Amino acid sequence: MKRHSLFLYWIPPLVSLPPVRCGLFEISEDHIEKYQSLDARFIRNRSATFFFRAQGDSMEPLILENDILIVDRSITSFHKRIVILSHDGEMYCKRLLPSGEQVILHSLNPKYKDIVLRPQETPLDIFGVVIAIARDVL
Amino acid sequence: MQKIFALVDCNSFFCSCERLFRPDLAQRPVGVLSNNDGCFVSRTSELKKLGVPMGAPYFQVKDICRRHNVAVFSSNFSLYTNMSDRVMSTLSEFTPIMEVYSVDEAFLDLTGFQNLESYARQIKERVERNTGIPVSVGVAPTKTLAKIANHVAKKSQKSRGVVTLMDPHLQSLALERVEVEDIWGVGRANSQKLRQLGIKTAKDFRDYHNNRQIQKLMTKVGLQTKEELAGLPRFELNIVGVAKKEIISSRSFGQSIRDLSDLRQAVAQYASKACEKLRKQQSVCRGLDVYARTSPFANTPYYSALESAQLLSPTSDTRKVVRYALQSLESLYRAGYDYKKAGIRLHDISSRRESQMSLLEPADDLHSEALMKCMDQINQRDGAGTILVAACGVNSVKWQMNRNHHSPRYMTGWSDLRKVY
Repeated sequence: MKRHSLFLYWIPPLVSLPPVRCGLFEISEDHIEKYQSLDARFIRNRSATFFFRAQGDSMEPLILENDILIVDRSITSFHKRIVILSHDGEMYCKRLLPSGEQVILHSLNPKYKDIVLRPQETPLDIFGVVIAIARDVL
Repeated sequence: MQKIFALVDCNSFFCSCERLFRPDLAQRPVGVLSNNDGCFVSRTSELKKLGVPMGAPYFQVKDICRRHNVAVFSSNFSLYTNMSDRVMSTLSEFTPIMEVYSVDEAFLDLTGFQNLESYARQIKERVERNTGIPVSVGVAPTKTLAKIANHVAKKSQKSRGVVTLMDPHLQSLALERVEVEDIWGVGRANSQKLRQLGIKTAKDFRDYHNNRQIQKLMTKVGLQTKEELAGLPRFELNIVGVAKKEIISSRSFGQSIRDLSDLRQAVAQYASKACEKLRKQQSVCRGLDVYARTSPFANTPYYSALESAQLLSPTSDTRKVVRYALQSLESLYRAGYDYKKAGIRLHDISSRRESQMSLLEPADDLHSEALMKCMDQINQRDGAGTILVAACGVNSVKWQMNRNHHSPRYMTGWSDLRKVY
């Protein structure tokens, strides 16, 4: 390209000229911003955010085995959300679907059946709402 | 304006942390052991009901624990400090003025706030929602009364975890039910003195006619406590971290130690740890005590000794403190005993800037300060004990703590995340 060759002509002899700053433009401190932070992007309430590790394939295709689940306890509306909850002494990750007097724990993987609970009999013990998923792909 | 204080206290804090990721423990009695799995330092109400007292040595109640399926844990400090941080930062949303009194309790200044009962309940609910740790809240015009309000909130089912004692009539009713031993700041010795005067409850103490006698028996702080019970604020919130006047670092050993060389390593490590704390608060010290003892429970000969050293010029240099500590250790050491615990106490602590020079012994020079700073930075970045003085030894497994019931590092290690299905 023409412009390119023009640029080559501009290279000055090193000794005779006074020092000139090279580079595209001078980076001044006004332009420095923080790196993007995943914490800042995903965590809304630090003291209420907890991480869990997904096991099994019950929430495929959305959640895979060994995914890190980012869970916010401060969110209190659970309707149709994916939540972490305790049931029979174990902790599960399921989508919560209320239906009348009952609550359905829905697995996204059709291989698994819905679990139907009656909160009147056994109160729901919801740990928090899954707000994001982190996964290693390498 | 009338002062208003709230004391927020986590219920069975360590146990509540252990339960957070273990819903299967919701109904089971849970207990957490001190360092080295020695004594119970936190118990759920179920465990208290089994008659296991605070501080009970684990080996004495092992049978009860087995019979009642008690979930016993070693202290998981990274879990507790992480949860404590979450509780405290949630509390700080409710008031700009707050004193973190300990890992599991904080005083909040609520002066000027209205609808205290519902505000307190809001505090309780938000902490529990955010962190999963149950708390009790006591609200009153003084810190001492707030402590008592909290005490009542924990005891009474009806209160559902929140008690406000702003009304003098309610205060009297509550104080009647509190034994003098349970008043904040009244130790065992003082409560015995008070009982000799016929003072049995907190109300008796508050209404006792002779203030001069109280001051004579319990010094000025005793009288201030009495006035606080009457609703007169005498203790302010302690907001800035006050530099400690003494620093103690001690541990029980995983297994008992006979050799001086092993004991030296342990003491050198405790001394290093203490110096690190000393430098963290920008202080220097001029005196130290070293002590060691055998187990008071074992059927072996008992020995316990303490040796002091006075430094000529104040220091925070690990190398110097370790040298003095080891000299003290050597003079107290007697061969033939099974040592179970050792420790060091640094005292005569002053701020680095106002410390006095000595002509006889050189003070810490700039080299020393730079070296120590560098050491602290490396250890902070790469983990405690990355760099240490050689006296600490390199294979000190023998006397490391027993932690046989340690729960996973749910919140501080990626490999220990709680699994969900």
